[in-house]
Amino acid sequence: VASPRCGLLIYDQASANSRWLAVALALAVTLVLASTYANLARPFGLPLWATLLARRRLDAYARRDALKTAWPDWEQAVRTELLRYGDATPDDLRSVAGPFRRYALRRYAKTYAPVQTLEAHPGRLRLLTGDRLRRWHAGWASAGRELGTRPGLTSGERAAVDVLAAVLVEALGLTLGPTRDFEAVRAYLVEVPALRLKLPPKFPLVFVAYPQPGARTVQMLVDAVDVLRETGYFALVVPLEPPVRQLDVAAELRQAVDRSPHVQDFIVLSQDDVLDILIARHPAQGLAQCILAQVDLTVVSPFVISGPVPETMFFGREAEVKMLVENASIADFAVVGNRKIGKTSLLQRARARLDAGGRVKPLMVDCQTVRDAAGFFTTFRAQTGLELPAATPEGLAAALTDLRQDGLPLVSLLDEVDALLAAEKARGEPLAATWRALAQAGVCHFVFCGSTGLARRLDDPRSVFFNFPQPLPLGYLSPETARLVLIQPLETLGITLEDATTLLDEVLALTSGHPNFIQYLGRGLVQAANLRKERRILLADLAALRSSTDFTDYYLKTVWGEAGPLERLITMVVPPDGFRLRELEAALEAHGVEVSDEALDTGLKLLRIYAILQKHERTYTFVPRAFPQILHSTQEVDRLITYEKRRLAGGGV
Amino acid sequence: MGVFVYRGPLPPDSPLFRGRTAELARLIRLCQGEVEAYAIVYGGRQTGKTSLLLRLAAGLPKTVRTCRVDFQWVPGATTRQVFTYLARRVARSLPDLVAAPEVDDAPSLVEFLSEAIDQPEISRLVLLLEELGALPQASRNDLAHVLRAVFTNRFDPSCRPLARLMVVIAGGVELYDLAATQVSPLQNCCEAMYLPDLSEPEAVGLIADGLTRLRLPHTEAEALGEAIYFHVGGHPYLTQRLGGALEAYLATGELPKPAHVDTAAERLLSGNPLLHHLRRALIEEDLLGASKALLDGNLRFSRLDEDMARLELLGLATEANGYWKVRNRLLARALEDWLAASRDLDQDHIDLAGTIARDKPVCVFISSTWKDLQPEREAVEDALHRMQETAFAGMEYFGSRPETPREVSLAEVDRSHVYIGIFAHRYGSGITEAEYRRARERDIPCLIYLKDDSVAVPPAYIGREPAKVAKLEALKCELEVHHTVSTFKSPDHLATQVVTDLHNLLGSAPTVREEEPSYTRNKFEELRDKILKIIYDHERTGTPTFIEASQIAEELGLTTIEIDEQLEILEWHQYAKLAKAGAGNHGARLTPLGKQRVKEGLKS
Repeated sequence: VASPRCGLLIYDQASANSRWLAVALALAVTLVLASTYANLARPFGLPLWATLLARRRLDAYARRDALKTAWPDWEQAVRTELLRYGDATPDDLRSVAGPFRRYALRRYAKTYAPVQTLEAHPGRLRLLTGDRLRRWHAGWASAGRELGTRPGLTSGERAAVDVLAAVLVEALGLTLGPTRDFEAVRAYLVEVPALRLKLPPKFPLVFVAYPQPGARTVQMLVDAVDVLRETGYFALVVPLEPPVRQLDVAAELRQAVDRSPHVQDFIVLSQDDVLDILIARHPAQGLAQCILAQVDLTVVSPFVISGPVPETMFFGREAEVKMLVENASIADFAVVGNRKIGKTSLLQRARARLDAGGRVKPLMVDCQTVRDAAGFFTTFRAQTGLELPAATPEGLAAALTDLRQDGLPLVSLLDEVDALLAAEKARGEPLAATWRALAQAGVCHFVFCGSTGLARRLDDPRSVFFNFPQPLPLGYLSPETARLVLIQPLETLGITLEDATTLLDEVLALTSGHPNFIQYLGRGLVQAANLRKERRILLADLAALRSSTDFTDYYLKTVWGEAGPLERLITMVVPPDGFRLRELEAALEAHGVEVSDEALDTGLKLLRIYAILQKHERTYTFVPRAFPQILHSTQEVDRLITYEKRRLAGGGV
Repeated sequence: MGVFVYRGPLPPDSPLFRGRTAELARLIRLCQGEVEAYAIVYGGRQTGKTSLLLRLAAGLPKTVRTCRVDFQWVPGATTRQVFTYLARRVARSLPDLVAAPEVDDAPSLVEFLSEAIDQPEISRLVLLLEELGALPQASRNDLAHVLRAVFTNRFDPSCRPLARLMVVIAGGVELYDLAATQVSPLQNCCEAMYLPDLSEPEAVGLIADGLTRLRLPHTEAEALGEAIYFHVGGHPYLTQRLGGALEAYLATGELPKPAHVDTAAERLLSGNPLLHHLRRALIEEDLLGASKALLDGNLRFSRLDEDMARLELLGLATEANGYWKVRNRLLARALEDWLAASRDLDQDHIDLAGTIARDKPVCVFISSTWKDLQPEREAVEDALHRMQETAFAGMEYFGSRPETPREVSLAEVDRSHVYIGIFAHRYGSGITEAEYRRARERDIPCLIYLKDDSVAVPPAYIGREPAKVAKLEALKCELEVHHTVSTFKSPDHLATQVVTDLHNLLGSAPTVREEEPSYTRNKFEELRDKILKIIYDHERTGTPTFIEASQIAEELGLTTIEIDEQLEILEWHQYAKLAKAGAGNHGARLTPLGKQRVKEGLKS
């Protein structure tokens, strides 16, 4: 063994082995490189060294189309891991080639961090809502384990469905209400969070255990929803699935719903939809997207043109709300403005704030149907629940005094008081005198809301209202707020704008910030996009809407609102770019309109209260800038002038 | 029953119901989804509003309750009566609601509605309101304000069930002030739906299907449909009416040709109830002058033009290419005729105004056959006696004279300022025609009335002699060509029309003679209130008290016409008809015999 020959032999043998080893090694490296090149570098167009060394900057080196092709699989792999276990590491991504796993995790985090509750760690991606997911999976497995083997739901399955409902409700910030069972349907009434979608405030959440859904399933849903719903048929429906999936149950149910009259009512949420909601950073938005994917845009479009707007669609007016809320217990206000300018919405907002603040007790009374003091007392009692010892001003005073002594300062918010004030005036304003006395005694302060009637009382030195409530005229919205009124609901609806800047500028030029016009345009633009089956609003949509008779008539009617014949005549005869009093008098004379200076003065004052005219020094200009152009380009103005002259001659105000 | 239906609304399952797909879908959506607006279905008379509402009610799921409220049943009702009637209708439509509501004012109505809807099995209540025009302006407005308040406060937690109330109002020009102007109470809470005419394929398809069912080849049926569309442009009633005319022609065994459609259209122009109503409405709404501008067709379309908007709601105007146009060719022809007649009347008015200015009574000659039209003559005579400006002239007052009846009659015509011709189904001796011709010769303004074909007539009152039948037909054709002929269904209907026409002709409201029993509007309303109260009391107690109502009417010194108006209010009670029978023929008051007959009827 020690001989040199032997040593040589050993050396030779070792040398041969080393060679073979080197060759094998070289082959292996070549194979790895070739494989890497073939599988990774070549398809992605990467230099080999970049594949091995520069994976962090894959985006910079990779061929775009190849990466685009590969990414959905990688993304799905990451998503599957996250949804199943609540986290993902490179080792978990078996279907992704080794060198790209970290890239996949990083890219997923970057893409979805704004919308999913992701937390990125070195070499690990975690969902903050993982616990919620695990509870859902556990409930899902229990609820669907024996699906289809017998009719109805066992108590165990119902308990599992309760878990599912609890998880979903928790994620969405809903409140669970009463529950009902119908065969294989378990339904809950839930109260919804504030979404910028037109949804009922309460609706059923329904879990359905039919492995093969069809028309009968839809009928079962209708029966279940009928009992629980408060208003419409809107409901969220989650079909349970068996552990081994043989059929896309959610898709089948969706098709059955599509064939029924309730195609716009039932939103079917598949397991994937729910999981998306559960991992969403803003689950309510996730739900909104699911809803929008299934129903007509116009069904959930939140733009409101009739009546007061809901809380979610109330924008701006912060200064007015603040003024009312902060001073309601020490001062009285008269919110005056033209129709559709948002008076009732403002009052409802103020009432909600006052309620939430808990420092005063608001008593809101809608006086729309009230024509006299007796009617006021009946309505007051019906709407506030406060019993009056007698239906007289004294009875009202006594009841409010008692209530005041018991607790918080009182604030009465009286909406639509015009007709009542007109009747009051004829009787010497005894009720108004009581209000004033109560306010001066500090028993109760008042916020009146109205239009012409209220404005005239405020300006009448013989009226109790003169120097009583502080006028709070309601005008148009600021441009910033006006933009929000349009943009935010559109964002919720997932609608984009063609040339957003131009479109918004045109909307502002057209509406001058009138809240109702913006709502009108918003509604019309959503309808136009919906007709094209797109989620995109075009400049042409706005142009078409603007030129429609429906819009121009609506615009002019709304601008004029409560304006009387003289006020309307003024707006029709004056030059479009502004005028002085002398020019107005000349224009009226030219049209054969004779009015006293006092009447003209009142008319101009009302036009300013209605926010139709504004005055700079001695020049009046139109607040709605598009008004003159729309008026003269769409109307037979001479005929309209004739009508108003006729009305004026007939004593119309 | 024929294939084509032009009397009353179409049943919900009628195959003749065409079009309105978009309107129906929208209404169903509004009635089922979140209440975002109430709906107003605008349409002139006979444009299918009620048919649409019936179809809507039938198309809604069972869980959505509907309550149709037709205010025709309570014409002239006060606000309180309207609220009570509405509450009762709602209570009846919700069988589970046992308690009959006592509704005095708006708050109690709102409270009642809230309670009524707040039942677990009621998911939605849809109120279908019709014929608001039957109510006085004040009642209408009060009701509108309540609806607006309900709408505005539907999300208020204290009246949450009201969010499940949907209101659909159907009507025409009577809704203009209520909902169409900016200061209208319903303007801000209603979505307006203007019922369009049928499209050409719908109208042609309707006629073609109907005629094909009557075994006419489809190609020919389509050609006739196109001919009808040419005249009436898809007007639902007029399309069916002309279809009905062709159906009648087919029944004679001959095949109709498009030329027959022209003839049928001409006949419609000379005496159709809808056209008659439209003409009357134009006069009442003071829109005859505005219709001239409509015929000119160069006014830009905008509903801010009050006159045009009212003409649209009457069913005469529509939009075409951005301009106001008359709705179809037939209506355009009718408008032209009415305007021409109005120009003639204006001239007559000038002549008559001179007579009135000289403080002389306007002598009105009533011409008709005697045997079959006595009640009509009495009713007209009674009405004329109460008009201060007029003096009645007719064969009743000729007395015994040496001249022949014809000579006497013609001499009386010569002395008269206005000629009223009443025609039915007898030609008579020919004096009536002679009287008419003399009036024409003397250029005396003629008011012509024909008994409606739908009124049943005893065989004895129908002329049988072929020669006289032919003469009568020829005379009627001539009348229709030369005059705006009105049709009447009853003596009082005729009397009302005569008074209105004379009022238009004389250019002033008829003055009531002081010496005659008169009534004021307030007294009228007072009576109506009393009668309604008695009916409501009866509904509560189950005691028949109609005779008391009749006695009150009598105590108030009312005559047949007024009593009949009241009876119309009561007609929804089965014994109202008995009471009418009890009122006997059209004498001045309820006679003891009449009362006895009512009692007997009630007992039986």
